[in-house]
Order: sequence, then C-alpha cells, then structure tokens
Amino acid sequence: MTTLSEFNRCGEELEGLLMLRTSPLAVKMLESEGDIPDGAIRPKRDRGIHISQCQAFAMSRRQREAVAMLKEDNWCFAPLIAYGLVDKPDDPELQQFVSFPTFERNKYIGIVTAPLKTADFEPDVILIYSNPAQMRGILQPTHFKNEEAHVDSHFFPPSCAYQIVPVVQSGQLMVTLPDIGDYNRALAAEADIALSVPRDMMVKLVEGIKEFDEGEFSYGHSGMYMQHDFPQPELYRMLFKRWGLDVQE
Amino acid sequence: MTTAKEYNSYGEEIKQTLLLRTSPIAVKMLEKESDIPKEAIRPKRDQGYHLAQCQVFALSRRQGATIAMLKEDQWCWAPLIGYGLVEMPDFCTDGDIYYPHFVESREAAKELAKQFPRLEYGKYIGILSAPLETASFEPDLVLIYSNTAQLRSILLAVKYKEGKLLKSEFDPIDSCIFSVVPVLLDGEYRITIPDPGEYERAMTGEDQTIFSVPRDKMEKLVQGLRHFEEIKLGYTHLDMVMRPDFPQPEFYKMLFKMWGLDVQE
Repeated sequence: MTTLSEFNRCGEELEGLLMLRTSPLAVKMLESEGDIPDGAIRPKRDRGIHISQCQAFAMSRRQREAVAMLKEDNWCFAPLIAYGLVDKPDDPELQQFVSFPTFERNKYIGIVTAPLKTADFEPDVILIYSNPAQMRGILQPTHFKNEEAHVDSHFFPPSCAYQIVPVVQSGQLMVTLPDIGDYNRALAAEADIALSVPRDMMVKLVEGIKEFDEGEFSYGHSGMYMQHDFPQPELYRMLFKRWGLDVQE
Repeated sequence: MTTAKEYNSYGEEIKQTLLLRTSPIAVKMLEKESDIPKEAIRPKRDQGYHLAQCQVFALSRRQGATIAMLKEDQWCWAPLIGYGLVEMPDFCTDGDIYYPHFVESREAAKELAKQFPRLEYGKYIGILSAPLETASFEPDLVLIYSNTAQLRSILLAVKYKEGKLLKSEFDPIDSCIFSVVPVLLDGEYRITIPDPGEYERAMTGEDQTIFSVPRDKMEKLVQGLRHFEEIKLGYTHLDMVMRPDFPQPEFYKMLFKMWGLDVQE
C-alpha cells in the first residue's frame, strides 16, 4: 500500500528525472463532499467560473493548484458523462459524441486533481503529460527488466474520459493523445502526450526509472550518436592540406 | 575567486532551474599540455578520429564527456582559425571565405573577414570542454544551450542583475567562434544561433540557441535566476493563461440545458 508521502516523493523524483515541463497529476474520484481536500479550488464557488476538465488538469499541472470539479463547475459535456455525474443522453444523433467509457451513474460527485508532489490525498490515477522521448524514458525500464508493461492506448476524444475511466476500471497503463479541446482550451502543447498510471503501479515505475537513470538509454543520459570524420567540403580539404592536417581522401 | 566545485553547483542549479535538456558546458582555453585534465578524451590520440568543435560541445553537453581538442583533433576549419591554432590564411583575409556564396560583394566580404573574431595566434594549443556540473577545472566561459523560453528566463536574470539590456550581433555561421571568442575578448554575455554545421553534424535542435556566460558573470547569473524563482516568475512559474467559460458549441448548450447546468447565453 503506497503512502501519501511515497506518492509525493514519486512526483518530485519524476519531475527531476524526466525534466518534465509540468507536474505529474494526482487524480482522485470524489465520492462525497467530505473527500474534497481543504485547499482545493472549486471553480464556480470560489472564482465564479466554469472550466473544462482538461483545463482543470492544466491548472494542476501548470499552476500547481488543487482543483475539485463537481457537476456545476464543468463547461464541457464529456467529463460529466464519463465520470457518471449526469445521465447519458440516448438521442440517436448524439451517440457519435457520447460513446466512450463511463463510471457508474452517481457513484462519484466529482474529481480532484493536484500536482503529485504536493497533493494531500492519495490518487486513484497519476496523469503524466510529457513529450514522446520522456514517455520512452518512463516505459523503457520495464522492457529492460523483462517486465514489459501492458500499455493500453486510445487516440481519439474525449481524452479526459480515456485518461481516467478505463485506468481506474482495469488497473492498466493508458497512453492518450491530448484531444482537440485539450489543445484549444487547455493549451496542451503540440508535442504533448499523456500517460495514465494506476495508483498501484506508480512506485515500481519510478523505481525502474531510477534504476536505469545512469545508463545511456535513460532519458537524462541518452545522446544522439554523431559522425566523426564527416565528409569534408572542398574548402575544408584545401585548408587542412595547407595546415598539414589529416584530410579526408 | 570561484572554485571548480562552486561552478559545479552552479551547473546543477542552472540545469534544474531551467529544466535544460543538456548540460551547460564549461569551456577553457588550453595554454599548454599540462592544462589538460587526466580524464579528458583526446579524439585523435584516444579514439583515432577527428571531430568538429560543435560535435565536441554536443558530446560534452549530451554525453557528459570531457574533451580536449588540439589542432590535430579538429575536422572543421573555423575553430582552427578562431582559436588561433593556425594563422589566418590569405584566402580568408581576402574575403574569399564569404565571397561569392555568403556575401554578394567582394569588398563587403573582405571587410567582414577583417572582423572575424580570432584569438591571438599561438596563444593557445587547444580548447577543453566538459559538463559544468562535473568539470574538474575552472572554466573561462560557460555555454548554455536552451530553447527560446529558457533563454527568456536567462535574459530576465541578466537584466535584473545588470540593469541593462543585452546586445548581440548574429552571424548564422561559425557558432563555435561567435559563442566563444568575443566572450573571451570582451567579457560580455552573448547569444549565438547554432550554425548549419552544428545542425547537420552535431544534431543541435532546431529550437536551440546558445547563451555564452563569461566566467566572472556566472555567479551573477545564478543569483538572477534564483531571484525570479523566489518571486515565482522563474521558468517553471511562467504559464499560459486559459480562458474559462469558453464559447460552447451548440450541442454543448443543448446538453447543459437538459442537465440543468449553466450555459453560455
């Protein structure tokens, strides 16, 4: 059983080892108002605004704020359906927009997010936004330990549903592309990709990254190989001959 | 007098504060063989090959290598001239180095060639580089490869400490010269764009620039970066502001009304 301080340490270490531009997120589904951490911002009540879930994720990973999103805080339909906060509409013309994994209706009242390194709650899922090379650095150690992780993936909207719901339900890693709303509204970078980690896999994943960190295949220590004695242009050969230096024949 | 250990800690701090993908590079000009630290690789003697200086900087910042480049290790002409390891040939002083491919007019090419930054011929035997975090020597200058946003944070730190703006001139060629020689000669910060050779041969990213820091300004730079961290305006604190209550597509409004939630009027 991973403790809160171990999760916080994982967050701190991940940011350092992978030089992440934004904080990995601790994500927890809320069953009751009593689950909401004291310091969490509730957008409508505290700021008089509504935001989408991808914007809440962005506030937590960029501004390092804890954000609790209840039904009334949402400004996008997808997380309301995905997290079971409203009835899924059965209008035939809407089905193409609402066919994605969902939690049981009314099981949760909302979702809270915070930077993993400072969260004061134990997460259900850890959500890491990175570039592909950083993600390789996270996943690759499992390959070198002959413990290749099973990684689910989904590349279509809504990313806020796929980043959370199947991960809680199956306990598997999930790779998603930030969807168009995440790009338009939450300003996810064009090079961003997201990895969702079930809570029980977090410590082992970070241990793997640390174990391989000094090796040349780690994110921090891998470098591109360059060509020495590269083809020299004519000008170079002329000058090098004049100076009595080696030239390419 | 800053010690090598203090420079190492500056390297750690700068790398962490700016989330640099590669290490800041400690660079030192070598006056004699005994200046070369034991751990330094000498490409021709130790590996049997030659490198360009930009490739050496890349090996130091990416692979963490300490490398001493003497005359016989070089595979590109520019550092040989710029670091004063050979005499400037007439070919260069005549402007033929620029004319006709890089400067349209022969006269202008000749004039520009006169300004080509050079260290005194024969003063040095080579150049040494290593990651600043681990370098066993005190550098003459430090090179920081960064993206534009990281450079912005560096420039904020410089402006804060110096109270003036940084001036730079840009030559898109000979970055191994422009990032090193003028900095040694005038002791000022400098911004350099990695040249085509750095891109082709040393695989420098398309989004990278080089910031050169003279040794005597390293402490100031670190202090400036610390200041912006403390007031929460450092590199990792600058974030894009998002728009709440963004325009909702029509079907969002229909669903939100159905669920009794606020909608955009």
